[in-house]
Amino acid sequence: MRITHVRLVSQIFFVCLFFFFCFVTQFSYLKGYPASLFLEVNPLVAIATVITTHALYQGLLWSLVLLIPTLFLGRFFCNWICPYGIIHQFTGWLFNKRGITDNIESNRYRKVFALKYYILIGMGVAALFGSLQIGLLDPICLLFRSFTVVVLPTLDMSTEWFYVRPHVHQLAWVVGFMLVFLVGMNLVIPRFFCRVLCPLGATLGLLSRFSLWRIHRDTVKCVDCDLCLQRCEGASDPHTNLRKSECFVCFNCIDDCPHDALSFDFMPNVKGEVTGPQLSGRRAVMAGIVGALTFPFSRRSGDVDKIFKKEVVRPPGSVAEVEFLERCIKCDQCIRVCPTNVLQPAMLEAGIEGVWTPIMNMRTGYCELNCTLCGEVCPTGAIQKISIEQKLGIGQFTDLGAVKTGTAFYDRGRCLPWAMDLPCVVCEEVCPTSPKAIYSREVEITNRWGEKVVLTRPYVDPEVCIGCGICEHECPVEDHRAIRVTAVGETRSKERSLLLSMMGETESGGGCCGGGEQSSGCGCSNSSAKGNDSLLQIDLHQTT
Amino acid sequence: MFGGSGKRAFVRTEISQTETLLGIALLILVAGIGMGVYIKGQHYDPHLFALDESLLSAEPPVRQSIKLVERSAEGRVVGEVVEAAGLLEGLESAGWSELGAMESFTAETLYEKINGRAEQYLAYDVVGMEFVGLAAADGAFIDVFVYDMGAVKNAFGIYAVERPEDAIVEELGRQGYRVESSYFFCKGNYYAQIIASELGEEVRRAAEALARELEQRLAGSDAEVWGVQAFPTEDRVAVQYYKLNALSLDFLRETYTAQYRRAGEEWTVFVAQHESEELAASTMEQYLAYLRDYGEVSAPRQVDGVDVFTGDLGGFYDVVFRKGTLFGGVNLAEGQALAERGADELLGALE
Amino acid sequence: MERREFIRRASLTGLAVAGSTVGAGLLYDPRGGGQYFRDELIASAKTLPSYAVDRGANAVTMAIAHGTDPDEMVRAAIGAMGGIERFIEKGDVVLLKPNVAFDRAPLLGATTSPGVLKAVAGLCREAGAKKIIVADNPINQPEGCFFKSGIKAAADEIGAELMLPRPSAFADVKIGGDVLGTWTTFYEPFAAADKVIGIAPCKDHNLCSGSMTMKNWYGMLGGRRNQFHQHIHGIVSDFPHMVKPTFVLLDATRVLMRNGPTGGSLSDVATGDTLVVGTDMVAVDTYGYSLLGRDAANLEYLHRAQKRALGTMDWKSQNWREVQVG
Repeated sequence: MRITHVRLVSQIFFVCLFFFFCFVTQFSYLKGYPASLFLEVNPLVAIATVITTHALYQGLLWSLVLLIPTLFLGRFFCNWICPYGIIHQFTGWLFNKRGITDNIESNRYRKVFALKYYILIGMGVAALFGSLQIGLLDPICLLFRSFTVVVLPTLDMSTEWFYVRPHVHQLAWVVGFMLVFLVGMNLVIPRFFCRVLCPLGATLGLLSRFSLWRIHRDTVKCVDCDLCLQRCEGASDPHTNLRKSECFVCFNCIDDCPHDALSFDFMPNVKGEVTGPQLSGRRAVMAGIVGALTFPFSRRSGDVDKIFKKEVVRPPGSVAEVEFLERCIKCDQCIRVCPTNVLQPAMLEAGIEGVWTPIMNMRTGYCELNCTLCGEVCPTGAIQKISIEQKLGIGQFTDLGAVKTGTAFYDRGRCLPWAMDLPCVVCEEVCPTSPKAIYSREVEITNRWGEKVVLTRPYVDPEVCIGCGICEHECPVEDHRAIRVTAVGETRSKERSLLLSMMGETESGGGCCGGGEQSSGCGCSNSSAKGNDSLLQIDLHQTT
Repeated sequence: MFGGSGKRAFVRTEISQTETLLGIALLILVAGIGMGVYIKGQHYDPHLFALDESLLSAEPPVRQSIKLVERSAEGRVVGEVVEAAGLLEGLESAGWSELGAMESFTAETLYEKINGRAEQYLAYDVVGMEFVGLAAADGAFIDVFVYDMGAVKNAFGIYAVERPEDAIVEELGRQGYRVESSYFFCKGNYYAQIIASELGEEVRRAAEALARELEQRLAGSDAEVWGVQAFPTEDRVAVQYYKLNALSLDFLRETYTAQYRRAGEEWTVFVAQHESEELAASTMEQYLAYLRDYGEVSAPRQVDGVDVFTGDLGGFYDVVFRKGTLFGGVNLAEGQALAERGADELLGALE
Repeated sequence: MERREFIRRASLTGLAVAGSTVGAGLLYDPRGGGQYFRDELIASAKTLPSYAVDRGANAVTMAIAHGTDPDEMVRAAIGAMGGIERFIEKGDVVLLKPNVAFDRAPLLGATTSPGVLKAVAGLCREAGAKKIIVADNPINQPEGCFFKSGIKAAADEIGAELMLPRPSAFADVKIGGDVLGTWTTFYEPFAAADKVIGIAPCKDHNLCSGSMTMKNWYGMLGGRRNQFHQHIHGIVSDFPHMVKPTFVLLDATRVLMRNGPTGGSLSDVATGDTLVVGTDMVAVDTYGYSLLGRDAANLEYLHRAQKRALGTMDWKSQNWREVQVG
């Protein structure tokens, strides 16, 4: 039972587990499976969200399970557990036909491998300011996003295993080609992503400096044949001084050394190792500056507040936009679990910071009324875990009211009964609230042929409308729907509310509901005195 | 294994025992993780996937309706407010469906529905009425009327007035009764009529079901009808309540009457409640004046410190007395001894 | 060059030339104008067979059952129709088509009651049905709808196959109605079934006023069926032309009196305690409309269907039964 075989079993197990979680993250199969487990044990996600939100959210406590062993053993995650790393290694094994010498040369350390640390520094500094961008390149986020947006839909085209009604995701080809590119780069540099770009690898590499075990080369036995580099995954120079921050603990070098000169030892001499990553101080500072500038550059583009786009309708249970960008790691698990395909990865609608964050597109789907799965799978709390009871605003949440994600508006120039003397009102039919947020009035008109026609013309009641978008989704004017849901009126944000009656206290913080009708206590919804719920409802002390 | 062209220079064969043991331990750990994930998957809150049905509210959305105020037997307001609109909501029987909408009326609009009959309800201070008509597939229909009379005694009064001699007593509300396929009862401030359009067992059963359902819904006050409790119960046949013109005497208002039958003899007693002793005395004066007009009045007897007058109306005897704010007596009995005994029994029962 | 070499090379080239020419000839299509696309579509479209059973001229066409237990009511009603054996044969594959359009809990009356579905399936099995299929193409998400309405659990309990509306299960079906010509339909369940039973709830509908057994078949349409609301009474009256089921069942154990077809509040639901079985959907719907407290004379699609001889509104003059259970 050699250790590399055990590692192989572990790799197969974890990559299968990852595929299993990808598959099972949907309504029919989810049950109680911890589908976000890989994201929750991810120390980069934990550390970055701690930096942005100053708290460790729920399941992210699991990251200690990975963090602490890394501090003892080094970057074993990269070769034993990381599903993306396993895919890279597999691709390299499948496609690389090189001779021994070529293999050895391809696994030598290169200075470009320091890039991932600069990337990490840039992202880390951005996080200090409240902009969470690690999700762009974190391997688990990237892989889950790729599966959600492009891999599973591709497989589904020929098998129909994954969806009952096919799912589409806008600009999926970008994510798809990015995946193919990064995996394909293994044919140029083995483990290209892991060595050059991976910020999680960089994080674990930085933590490896404290590790107590490492690969140790017995200089007496060693004949400098460099055969240990044949299959070195991390390109960590086991043939000279081991770069602890690069070693993936794959144990291939031990298997390959003909002279038994390599072993995995407890606290060998520090002279035989390169403890931390070799970084240029100047470049690190530059990375930090770029990271720091990200924040003002993106916020002053206005996408979060002043010129927020009406298409940025966030999932129900989302926190307000500023907090959302502090939490969302763009893993797209919410998009995966969403049964109706309404959640889409944004491109630039939410600004440069919001790339691949979830927004609702009512042309592809709508928000199912009795469903809160997106919040259930979100590992960082960008979408809070709310019960269906809370979403609908019933039971103990009757005072708080329903969670609204937006409001629907009629385009009377396109609506059939309004503009074309044709009957329709599918929108009213499918409106799920009780009472319906769409009501209608009958009107008798004389059409162009002189016939008397009774038309039912629909209206929206903005107090009842929750912005679920099924009206827009079912509207027969397919190309540009005659009723459209936009972000205004959402309960998560005071800046984007529509009606005074839904706003709670006024800006002056004095009276209540404007009219002063309620004297004893405020019967309004959205009181900020609800403690925990202040993330969801209007935080009246939040400054823009 | 992984990596390289497959043609490796050397493959290690010496595996230390530590390595093997470590390997086995790691495999067990991996298997444990798999088990843990599976077990975790089987435990979940089903309300995550579907709304908890117990949260569904059966309350209808707020609608305009007449607000009915529960009054005690004396007519004073009791805190509770009963929504009329809910009373007949969804009142159905198998196979019977609502014919048209439910209708609500106030005292002012009552005549729209029942025309001339509104008079007698107005006489008893009706507050409002709810109506629903139910139809069966074969054309038979049942009309359900629920009158809010504003007070227990008013409901009782109109009920008693409408009740015919040959009514079949049913256990329904307070002294419910049935006439062929129709049911009538009063409960609390309400007087209910379930009137069927035709005879027949099936129709009757449907009407009965409706009547029972309605009885469940009507909030009954605990306060009993005063007269029913106050009058002696032995040999009592019936009790009525009149707001006006009790015993055909225009000065007798808000009067309870009761009939008794014993050993072939019948007599009627009555009691009127007043706000004050002066008013009670005034009524008595009017009664005595009437007796003197049409007959003779004897000198009063003293029974328990109360003056009891006997009036002879030519073969029929009235006996009257005033006790505190109560004015009462016996009306048109066929014998002096009978009248006086009846009055004494009544006086003894009144507190 | 050697002769063999010459022959080999010349033959190969010759074959390539011949192949190209022949291939071009075979694939040549001179047609134009685009009409042939439509013709082929219509020609390749499927047709639905009739699933109705001939029980003779004196057969009972409608049975109404009143009661509180769905199982007893279904038995009584079907019994009054002559018994399930008159409809289902041993070895039949039976499609039960409930209304699972919305992700509502069963109490809300927007979907078919699971209890009624189970009762019908139970009877079919007693008659020897080999397989039961449950299928619908919901408006909301299929998996969520089947689960939350309790229909999935019911289907699992009765061992039925739940067919979900995957893209490959749809096919163009020639309908030939007033509004529906050829339309993409959830075809796989129809193709697999020998007998088809529709089980519809009795609901108010904001557009066409009543959604009962005829409207139930809307759930088997695919594609952009949201266009049909421009001609709703026309299309509802097309359904009895499109689908000839073995029989239909109107599940009025609960009646959605207002705010239909989605409902959403218990206050919208009234107890109906009624179940209607029939072979004439127009008749069943006429009766069902009265359970909503409305006059069927006002329901346009009933008149249309009657005019097209797809059924009769005058159910009272037909051979019908009424039973009270429990």
